[in-house]
Amino acid sequence: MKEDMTEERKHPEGELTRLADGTLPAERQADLRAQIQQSPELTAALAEQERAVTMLRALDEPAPAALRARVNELTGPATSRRSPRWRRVFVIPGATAIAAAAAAVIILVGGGAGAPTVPAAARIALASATLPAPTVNPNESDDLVMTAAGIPFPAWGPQKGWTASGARADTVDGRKVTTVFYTSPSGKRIGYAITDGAPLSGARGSSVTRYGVRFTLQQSGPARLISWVRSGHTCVIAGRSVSYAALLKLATEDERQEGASSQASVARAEYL
Amino acid sequence: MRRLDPTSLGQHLDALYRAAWALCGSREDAEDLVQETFARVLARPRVIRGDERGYLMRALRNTFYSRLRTASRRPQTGATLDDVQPADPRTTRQPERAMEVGEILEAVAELPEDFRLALVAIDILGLSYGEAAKALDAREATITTRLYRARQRIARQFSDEPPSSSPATSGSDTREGSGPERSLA
Repeated sequence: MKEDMTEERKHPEGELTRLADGTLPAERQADLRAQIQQSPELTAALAEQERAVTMLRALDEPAPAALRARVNELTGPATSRRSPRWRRVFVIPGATAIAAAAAAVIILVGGGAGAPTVPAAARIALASATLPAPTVNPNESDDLVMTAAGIPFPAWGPQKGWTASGARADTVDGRKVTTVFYTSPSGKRIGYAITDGAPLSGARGSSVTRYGVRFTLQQSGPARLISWVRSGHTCVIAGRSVSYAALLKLATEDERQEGASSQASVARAEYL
Repeated sequence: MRRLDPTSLGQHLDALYRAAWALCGSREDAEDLVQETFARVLARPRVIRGDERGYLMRALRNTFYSRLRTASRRPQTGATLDDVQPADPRTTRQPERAMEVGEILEAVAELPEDFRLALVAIDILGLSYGEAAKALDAREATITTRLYRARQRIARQFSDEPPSSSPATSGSDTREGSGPERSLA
């Protein structure tokens, strides 16, 4: 592994590959980004890598139901009948199955005990607005006046095609979830939810790293959602009939603005 | 080393299906390939080292090659009515999206084999570079180079921009290790 990493330094295309998907060690990133900034060739090469990563990792085609059923037959009780040895692995005691089913219902209805999950936050982000749209912050035109956990919601505005159209404030399992809804000129709607407190569990799916931040892409029913952690709080952008690419663009744009305003990272500032 | 838990394999089904589609270039062949892979893996208890998904990638690849060998030995016949594929019977809420997924995965299937396997392992199945190297019996540095080339081709194929004639974007060779490193100290 170490030998391979050393070799990759001699062949920076390997490092570009890792930089594009967020797996390049942090200590190499600033150095490589400085080289990239000096070279239009490398800048173009990195952009290509990032474009491919976004496209490929956003693929969400599920297995067809018929295939799922056939695979379930292979992994299910029918298979266990072939061999007593397998039965021990496959058979779930009735009480356990009932408990699992009950837990699933609780999760579906309320998000489970303890803390809300990313899908639960996404369900709120897909719900109806109960508050009027917040206005643009007169002192900071990139932000709305509404904040959550100290994080301002972005004012994407007409130039980015998404205008704030409403908001809501909820409490789930004792945690405050604040959501702003945005609407596009074509009538599509997305919700941007920020949850107070520690990062939420339940972020499962492929991921893309931009500006040092890991964005997780996942499907929840007919909706797509992207989640990430900012300042220790989980942010979720969710929408129906909106592509992952569009959601990711908004999420990364928001992180880019955050990085620019806070100057939190030298590497991030160099990239900008 | 641990025993493979068959009940946990279902969680990999969607990713494995997309990986199979990218290997075969056809949705129908992908379904058959995934089913056969699961059947082989579950035919007897397995003991695995490391990641479950890496193990499945290796099994998928082996099954894919095995199917190719079998197909090449089968006598070739002319097309019949049975070969005509019916329209996709599945209803989809987003036909454009389904078409886009198909186009991308079929483009991956057109890549040279080594590039395709690296890309499928890392960007579609989500393996780490180390897991991919182990699953594909190659060194990590080789995997990253192949992945670089594979992503480059896919990005260019789906680019909205006209092809550039600059050296930075004109590479079409399949040689590993060529590319932007030439411009660096």
